[in-house]
Amino acid sequence: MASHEQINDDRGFFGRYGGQYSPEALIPILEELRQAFRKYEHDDTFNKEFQYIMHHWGGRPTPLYYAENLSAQYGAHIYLKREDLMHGGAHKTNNALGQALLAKKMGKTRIIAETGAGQHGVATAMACAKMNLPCTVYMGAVDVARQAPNVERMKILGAEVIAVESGSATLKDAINEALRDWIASCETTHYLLGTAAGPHPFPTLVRYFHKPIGIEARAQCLDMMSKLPDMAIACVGGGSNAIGLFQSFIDDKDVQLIGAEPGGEGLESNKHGAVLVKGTHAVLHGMSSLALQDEDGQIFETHSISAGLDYPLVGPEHAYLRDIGRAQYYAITDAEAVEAFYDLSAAEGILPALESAHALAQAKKSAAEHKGSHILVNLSGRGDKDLQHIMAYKKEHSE
Amino acid sequence: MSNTRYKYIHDKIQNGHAVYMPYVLIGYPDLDASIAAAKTLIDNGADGLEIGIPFRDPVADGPVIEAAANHALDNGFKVDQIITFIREIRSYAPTTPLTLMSYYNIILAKKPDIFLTALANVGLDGILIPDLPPEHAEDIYPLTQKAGLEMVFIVAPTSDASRFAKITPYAGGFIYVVTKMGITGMQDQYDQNLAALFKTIKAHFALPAIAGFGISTAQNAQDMVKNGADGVIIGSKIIKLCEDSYKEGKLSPALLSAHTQEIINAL
Repeated sequence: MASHEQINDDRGFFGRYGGQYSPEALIPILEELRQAFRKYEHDDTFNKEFQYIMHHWGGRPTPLYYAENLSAQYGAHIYLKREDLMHGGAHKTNNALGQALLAKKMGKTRIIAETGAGQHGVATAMACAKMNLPCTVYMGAVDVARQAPNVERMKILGAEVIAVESGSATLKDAINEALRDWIASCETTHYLLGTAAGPHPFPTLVRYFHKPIGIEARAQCLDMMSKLPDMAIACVGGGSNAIGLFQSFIDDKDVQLIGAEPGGEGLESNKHGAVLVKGTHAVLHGMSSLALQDEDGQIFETHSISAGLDYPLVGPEHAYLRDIGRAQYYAITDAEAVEAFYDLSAAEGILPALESAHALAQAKKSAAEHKGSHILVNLSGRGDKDLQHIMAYKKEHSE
Repeated sequence: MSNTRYKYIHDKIQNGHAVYMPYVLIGYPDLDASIAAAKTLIDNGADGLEIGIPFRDPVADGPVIEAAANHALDNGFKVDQIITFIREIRSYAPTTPLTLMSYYNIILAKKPDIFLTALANVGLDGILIPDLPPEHAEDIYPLTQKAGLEMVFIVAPTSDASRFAKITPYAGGFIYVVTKMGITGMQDQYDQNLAALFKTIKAHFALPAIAGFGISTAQNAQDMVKNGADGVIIGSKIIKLCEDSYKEGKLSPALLSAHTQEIINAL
């Protein structure tokens, strides 16, 4: 393990990426969070409590499933890590509950969060209901209109949802607004960031709560395949489910790590979110990372059929894994993701989230290149939430 | 300090006067209007200018500046226009200290060594990067020194002695004191321990302590000075005044003149 961990000197750097590029007013609160995290990550009582809740309330461990029919169709052995079966329908519950528990230990009495499509907002609202913490979720006004069912879910779970009207009224504006709240309220409030990005310690902390994905999957692979997989594939927006999966395989040099990014309408169209494929060095949202930006450093708006992957930056550790060649990242178009969505639904009776369908589409490509190989795919979420988008996409592309 | 234009505000403060350094957003409402606004502020006695660059994701600014920045960008603002702006203001006001507030990503995108040198060459004095805390200042501090630019830092109500110690090796020009926890804007609720904050800052730093964030009126400005500030920065209010003064592509100076005189008289 050590080789990779040691590079992180607790200033939060992964090579040139990461760090704490935040306004002065936030630095003391980030330091408080860093110290609390470093204390509790080694605290047996804390970890047992986290595991207990994740087991009885959250449904961990999630199964590894050998997708026999899909394997026959794709020409390789496809194993699905069933994060879609987690409480809440996606891996995001790991992080939301973990951070809510940590906030409670820190004596915080209020939680705020940002959400794009609403999945992280729902996970946070669930975790806060369970942990008895009041919760405010910032959501771009455009997303509030597009994702009405998730807004209702959050409200039923007791969260206050604030529609953000500024800027493009989408995810990055929700993040900006949540940060503004946090600067003013940090004494009492924890900002429950939704992905393995942002200023240190968030990328490390979010990774920690998603580590069970990789730990379980590695043991389950050894059990079911009697070996490690040839490839581990996950989708990457901010990169939290991928980093949770990759973490346990970093030192297994024979396991190829592959991230599937949102290719949108294609890399030539400029309507995509393939940050690791096309991005350049940037500092924003508290971190040094990669971003899709113009020559003035203004950040582009991204496009993807999958709202959960629609983020113009990426977690710093992925940028680092790319640079050192430990992981490869490829773009999957909207069309390829939709095709994989139908493949899995028909072959296995499982509706994958459109995010996860990007990982499946990559598995399809990798299978074609490496017939008979063993491919682990993180099925990070269930797809019921995406039916409306699939229908709209089909309608738009049927003419 | 001795050889920079900040000496002017330093000396004025030493002589018992508070200073006013208003904030101008380049390119808002358009480039010419922002140049006209800056000249009006200087004509009416501004002691220095804080100059903002439009950025799509201004995490340390409030909604007023964010909306103005988006407006400027939608109108085609390009970062290179800052060179024109500073050259123009510098030739108009040879001794006025000019401080640029820029998010770090803009500087990175424009290649720090080239960009900082170009800015210094047209007469910029200092640079404040709100998302570059002293922990990362070493990233560009040598380049600012080579170019001859001061690095200006923010101190917040949450900054304690350990934070001051981190800032000290890099800090130049003045200390930008955040007087309330939050973001720039026009709310007039200040941190309750303001007097204590200014006292600690002035005991530690040999630089002027200028109050910013949440100041818009003459009364606010007076309160700041009463609590120990050496001067004030006003931003969102200037944006509002620029908006109200802009008709048919022209900026009329009356509102900005009156505002500047009012603040200066109050200090």
